[in-house]
Amino acid sequence: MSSDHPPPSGSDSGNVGTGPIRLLIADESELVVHGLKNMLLPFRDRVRIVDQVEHQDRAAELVLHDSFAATPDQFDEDKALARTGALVVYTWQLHPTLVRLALARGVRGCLSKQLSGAELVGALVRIRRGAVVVLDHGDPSWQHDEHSRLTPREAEVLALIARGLTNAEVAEEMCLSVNSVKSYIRSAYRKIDVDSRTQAVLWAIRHGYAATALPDAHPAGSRTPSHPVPPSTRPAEPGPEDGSDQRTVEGVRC
Amino acid sequence: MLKPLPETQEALDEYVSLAEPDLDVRIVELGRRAQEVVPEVVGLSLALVREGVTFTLVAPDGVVAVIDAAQYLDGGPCVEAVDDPPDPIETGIDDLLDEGRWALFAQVSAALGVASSLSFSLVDAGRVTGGINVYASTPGAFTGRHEALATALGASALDVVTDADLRFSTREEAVQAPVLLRALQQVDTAVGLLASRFGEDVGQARERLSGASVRAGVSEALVAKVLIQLQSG
Repeated sequence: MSSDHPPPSGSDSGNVGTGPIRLLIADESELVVHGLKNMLLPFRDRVRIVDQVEHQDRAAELVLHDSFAATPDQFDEDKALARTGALVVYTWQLHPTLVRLALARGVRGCLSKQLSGAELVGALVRIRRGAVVVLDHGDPSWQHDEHSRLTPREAEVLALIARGLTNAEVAEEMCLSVNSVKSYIRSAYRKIDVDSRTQAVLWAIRHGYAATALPDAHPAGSRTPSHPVPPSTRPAEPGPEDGSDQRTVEGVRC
Repeated sequence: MLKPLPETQEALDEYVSLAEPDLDVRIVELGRRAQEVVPEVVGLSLALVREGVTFTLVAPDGVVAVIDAAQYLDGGPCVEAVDDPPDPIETGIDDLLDEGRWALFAQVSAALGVASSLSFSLVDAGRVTGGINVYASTPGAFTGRHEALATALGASALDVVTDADLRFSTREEAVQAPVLLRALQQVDTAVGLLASRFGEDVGQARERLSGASVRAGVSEALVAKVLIQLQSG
């Protein structure tokens, strides 16, 4: 990623922008940029691709970047961008371990380059509204989290409830029914071996599924780090037994 | 068929428990069984002691709807509860009648509303875990049916109380359930955030939150809400 990206504006999750989402495609090949522009053309009332040299007032709200293909010298810039709440990983490699690490760094979402235009726009709309979205395409059997066998849906639900959302709000953000959300919560609880929201929130933060921005009460010699600790990588585990992880994105309305 | 009040449905949407994963199904089934034993049943409430919330089913087109209409005419207890959700309703039937404030509500309730009620306790391992109130539209509807109803509802027939809630006060409690559950969720979430932040166990974090609310003179739910907003940036 180059160093002259304009500072994202309106990226605060509590400051939802209006009008088309101003989207910057960072450090992509000409092939991908042109392909993406064409793919998003029918949705130009929802998403507008901006150039990085545009005036600050029209700077990007969200930045698509293939962070998983980033070179080491781009890593720090990615981290800084992630902290602004604007970075959305857009990648071919939606590997659970990488996704988890990216979410721990504060990215707003991880989206597959295989998504359709409608799916991509729907996800971006949800992200602008404050959701953390992980959306993959293709065979779900390789999407499972190696650490806890959480599916991406379960991981996303945990991340959202750790941000204080109600079940109804999670359902709205994920374009799911409340019953589906409750089902994901219960299956996540079972997999991470907790039985309460408190424990789930604590687990989510400690395992890098959610960040906490609470003020540091112990700036020196703190007993715990101020940011979630990325989980260690473990050997791949088999996928979840339940087949409930249905993709239910409903197009651009979501 | 009895159906959940809108507020009960809202509360059920937020209620998650591994021990009671299908509460929404269970409560509707309780209503069905109650009407099977006593066809005059027009309402049923299930109260959970641990969460302090009440869920209520009513007959959609029955007398309860008339009671609703009456209280909207006169600003009855449920209207007030919705207008000012943080304050729990603690008004007894005597207060209602003495004040004369809800005269119309009381009159309609007496004329068209619940004519009999039966209250059961739910006991698990010697501890009261909740209660079930069943309401019928005719006087004496439960006479001679206590045991059959208790069996159908999985409750004990030993400690039933007859006509203890002819005012159907559990409906008012059910209206508060979404607000109460939301407050519980916020507290639970905040405790998780604090436990992470201070490297404490959940119990210690809960005490920290409780202590902060006492010192600040505000509710735990409010402290929790502020913490969550801080966390969200």
